[in-house]
Order: sequence, then C-alpha cells, then structure tokens
Amino acid sequence: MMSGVTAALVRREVGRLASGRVLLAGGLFALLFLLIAAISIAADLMLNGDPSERAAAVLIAGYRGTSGYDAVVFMFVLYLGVSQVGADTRAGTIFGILARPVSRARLFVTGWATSCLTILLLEVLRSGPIMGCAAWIEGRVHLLSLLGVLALWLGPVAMLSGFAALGAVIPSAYAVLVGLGAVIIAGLAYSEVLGGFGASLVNAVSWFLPLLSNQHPLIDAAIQGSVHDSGPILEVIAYRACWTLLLLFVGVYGFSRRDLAPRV
Amino acid sequence: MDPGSRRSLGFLPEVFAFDRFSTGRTLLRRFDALSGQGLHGREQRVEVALQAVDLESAAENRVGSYSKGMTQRIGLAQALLGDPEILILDEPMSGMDPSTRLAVRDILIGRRERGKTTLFSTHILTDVEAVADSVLILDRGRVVAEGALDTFGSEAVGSTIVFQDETADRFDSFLLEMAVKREPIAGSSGLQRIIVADPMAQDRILANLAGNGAHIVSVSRARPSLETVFLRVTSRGEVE
Repeated sequence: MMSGVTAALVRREVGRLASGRVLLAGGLFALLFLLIAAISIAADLMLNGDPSERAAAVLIAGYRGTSGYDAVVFMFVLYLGVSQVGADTRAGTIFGILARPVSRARLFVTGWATSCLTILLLEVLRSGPIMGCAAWIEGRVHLLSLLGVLALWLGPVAMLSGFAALGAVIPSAYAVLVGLGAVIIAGLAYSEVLGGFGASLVNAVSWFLPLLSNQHPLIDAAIQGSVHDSGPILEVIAYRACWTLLLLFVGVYGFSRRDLAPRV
Repeated sequence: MDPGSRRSLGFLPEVFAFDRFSTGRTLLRRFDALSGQGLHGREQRVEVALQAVDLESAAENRVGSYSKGMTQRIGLAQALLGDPEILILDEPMSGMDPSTRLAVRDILIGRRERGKTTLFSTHILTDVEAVADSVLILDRGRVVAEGALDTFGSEAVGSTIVFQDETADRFDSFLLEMAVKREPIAGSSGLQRIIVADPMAQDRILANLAGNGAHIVSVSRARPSLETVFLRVTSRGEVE
C-alpha cells in the first residue's frame, strides 16, 4: 500500500499536471487529433475494407492512420520529462518539499511514475479503441498484438525516462537541446542517410543511446499479427524496459547528486 | 543527509514558492503528510498553524491569489506545522505588516519558552533583540561575532562607571591621561558617566576616583545596541 508521503506526492503531481494549461491544451489537441483520425479511418474501412480481413485492416489502418499521434505523444514526453524536476526547481517549490523527510529518489520516482501514467493514458486513448475494434470484429485478442502494443507503449516511456534524467541534472533549456540531439542521433544511427565519418561518429555516439526507431517494423508486425514467433517482440520489450530502468536510475542518481540551493 | 533527520525540522527559506493551484489548507495538509505525520490529528495541526499566522479566513483560497504578506504567512505556517523541535527561518518577517510581525515574534518567543530551538537570519536587528537568546553575526560569509544576547558585544565596548562628585572637573586631567572622557548625566545632580574599554584602566580609574572622595554609584558591563555592535564588527561600520 502507498505510504502517506508517497500518496501526498502523487496527489501533488496530479494537481500540478491538472492545473497546467499547456497539458490541458495538449490533451484537448490529442483528443481532437484522435477523433478526426478515427472518423477518417472508419470511413475508409467501411468503404474499402474486405469484411473477412477487417480486424487486421483495423489494426493496420488504426496505427498507420494515427502515426502523427506519435508526435503529439512525443511533445508530452518532452514537456513532462524535462519539467518534472525543472519546473519545481525554477519555481522554487522544490525546496519546501526537500526540507521535509522526503528523499530525492522518492520525489523523482513519484514524479516520473505520474508522468508515465499520463503518457500511458494518452497511448491507451489511441490503442484502446483500435485494439477494442479489432477484438470486437474478430471475437478474440491475439497475445502477439498485445505484446506489440506493450512494446509500442514502452518507447515513449523510455524516452520520458531519458528526458526526466536530463531535466534532473541540467537546466530545462539544455535538457531539451541535449534530449532532442540524442533523439536525432538515435534516429540517424545505422541509417543510410549519412555516410563516411559522419555515419561513424553518429553510430559511435548511438552506442550510449536507446535505438528505438529501428524496432518499429517488428512492433508493427507483432501488432498486426503477421508474425508467429514471440521471441523478437519479447526482446524489444526487454530492450525498452531495460533502457527505461537504466535511465530512471541515472535520473535518480543524478538528481540525488545535484547541488540545489534556494535563491537568496 | 538522511531524510528522516528532517522529521523534526521546520524550514522557511527567504525566497520560496508553493504550488499556486493548492488552497492554503490543502497545502498545509500536504506538508503535514510529507512530514510523515499520520492522518490522526492532521486537521488540528493544520488549524493550529493557520491560527498562528492568522490565515483561517483565507485558508480556502488558492495560494496563487495570496498577497506577498499572506504568502509569507502561509510559508511560516507550513514551517510551524506540528511544532517542530528545530525551526529554521530565513528572513521570516519580511513582507509582513507590523501587527503580523508582532504576532510572529510572540510565536517565536513562545517556542523559546517551550524549550524549542529556532534559528533565524534577519537584517531587522530589533527582531533579534526581541526574540533571540544567542546572536551570531556573519560578514561576507565569515562569523565576526557571536554570543549570548545579554552580554553580546559588551567586550567591544567595556564597562560603564557612574560616580557622583560636585567638582568632577578636577578629575579631567587624570581621565585624559587614561584616554577616557567624563560625561555628565543630564538631569542628575552631579552624576557622571565614564565608559572604559580597558579592564586595567578601569581598576586604576576606580581607585583614583574613590581615593579622591568621589562616590562610585555603579560599575556595569555596558551592552550596546545590536546595531552598534553590527556596525563595529562588520566592514559596513568601516565604510560609514
């Protein structure tokens, strides 16, 4: 059961998220985006879909038709991750909390967990209707599809941990720049866009980064049920979970070591 | 630092902020929970803290709508929650109106009488004189003076000798020789005051006055005002 201190921290985080206008506006935008995408996908399936393949078509069209939603989720990840410690430090609200018998690790993990639930809620808003529709049409849920969805959800969670770790050790503006740089480098790693020394450099730097984008074909295949072996998707899940935990640990360690003092 | 060691600590920094979306009462409930206090007695502890800073009427308003003085008071209330053994306050009375300041002084005096420790920093020296037992003066990050308030700074000034003599001017050449000055006490009949910094000189002066028939009324350690000591021991005094 959650202790009184953790419960108070969670309630505070929820209050903070709920009172933020940026998040409220972002949430409404996300809902609007999904609504428009849903109408478009539904119309497309009704007009062109083959009834015998409709469940698979829902999954394919559902995720492809909402691929832009990844950008919306990414904006949330960026904002929530970087501002988790940064907003409190900038406002000075962190000192009142740290003056209490609350460890920095607990404060960080609680904030991360609340942000994580927010991101997962956004993902459920997309995946819930798509998976629900497919399951309703077919009358069953495929385990591989569920594993694919889990792998998909772990991507933003790993990125959230990375941005939160950066925001815990350096000022928010730098955390945004470094985080975006890391995302770009990870996206370019082992691609054919770059060549020569640039490619070698990017590939070398990417050893220290989670390479999430290369796994999308595997995740898509698992969600659509076009593969029958669960090994690769379990490997993707393990990879993303390990990065999440590692980055969470880095965030906790970095935040615990950070020199913080009230302004005088 | 072990977070548990902060269980009996209350703290208010000079520059602080609280979650603007919370009401005053919600904020105090949260801080009470963060202190590791159970639900039992929470409402009472919150009420006591609100009463102490006279914020009961605004307890249901959002902290974001508070004036500077009210924010300072809710800050003090969260530090006072549960009457902590040790209270650390940085400029606690800045932004407060005179009546609230007096009320806060009373709170701190009350804590002192209950044997609780309060460590507070301030530039308002009259507050220190009203509240503190011990004083420490920092100048550019260095401790330049410390001690009990009763005797604070008396070493820097020395003793005050009060004597009575109708023809006190006969001592002037001797006093000049001892590098001290006689001041008649206004409104008295022949009472004179001498401030002596050097203890050796004090003995010689007393012997001379008494030996020549002057009546020694009192010899006391002089305690100058904190302001005087502050100016004396810090570089600000040199500038002035």
